[in-house]
Amino acid sequence: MSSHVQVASDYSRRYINRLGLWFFIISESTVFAALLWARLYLQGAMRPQHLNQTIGLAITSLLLLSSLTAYRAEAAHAAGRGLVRRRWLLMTLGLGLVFLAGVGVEWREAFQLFPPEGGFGSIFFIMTGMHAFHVLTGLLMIGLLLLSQRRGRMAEPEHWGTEAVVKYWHFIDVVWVFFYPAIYLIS
Amino acid sequence: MSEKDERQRARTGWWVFAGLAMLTAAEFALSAIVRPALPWLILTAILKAGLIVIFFMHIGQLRHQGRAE
Repeated sequence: MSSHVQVASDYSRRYINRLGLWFFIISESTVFAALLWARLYLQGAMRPQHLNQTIGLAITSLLLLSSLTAYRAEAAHAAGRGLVRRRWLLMTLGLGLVFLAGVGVEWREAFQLFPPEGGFGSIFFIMTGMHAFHVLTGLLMIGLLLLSQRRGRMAEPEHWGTEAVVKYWHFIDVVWVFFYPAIYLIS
Repeated sequence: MSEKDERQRARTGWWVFAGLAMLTAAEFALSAIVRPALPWLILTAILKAGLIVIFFMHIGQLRHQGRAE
């Protein structure tokens, strides 16, 4: 009897966790939607000709690939394969770090070509900066997951932490799916 | 989840990634070829976001409260 109650309680708790995370994601989306709208409102279809398209496409591909590795980590976790999960999480972490390095390279060029004082520069830096900050927080959470695993926590497939962090990581990817064409491709 | 289910999910993951990569290549090409490209870029972005939200973020889970996973 008590085990039935426990199972029901676990499911409703998981459902509430998911619902809460989705509400959080929706609220975060409004911030990014405002930035996207600001970019289109302030600059229209204008973009500088010397935007580094190679870096833009490269970091976009890296982030998409990191979504796949995060997805595989979640699947391995659900299957109770801790070591495999760890490997995929480490790959996600690495790809995220390379993404941030790519943004850093882009920023170094951008400071010279369209500084933050200008129209496009201001919206470029706020959009990429806000997104990079979220990537950084995602990386910190992945790091915490890996540390927790080393300490023997989060071993059970039912544990919510991996699913929550992976969903957040995918959300960061969705944001970039809209930011990439808005920054690099519209003309 | 069994290892077989995990392999199935892995296949799904690769298909979704392939779809995302193709759509990214398409939007890159469209931005260079089509004028105005904005409607097409919006469409490809929505398709890509849809793939991620449906397959990677499992938004359908919200409809399965209380069911075994």
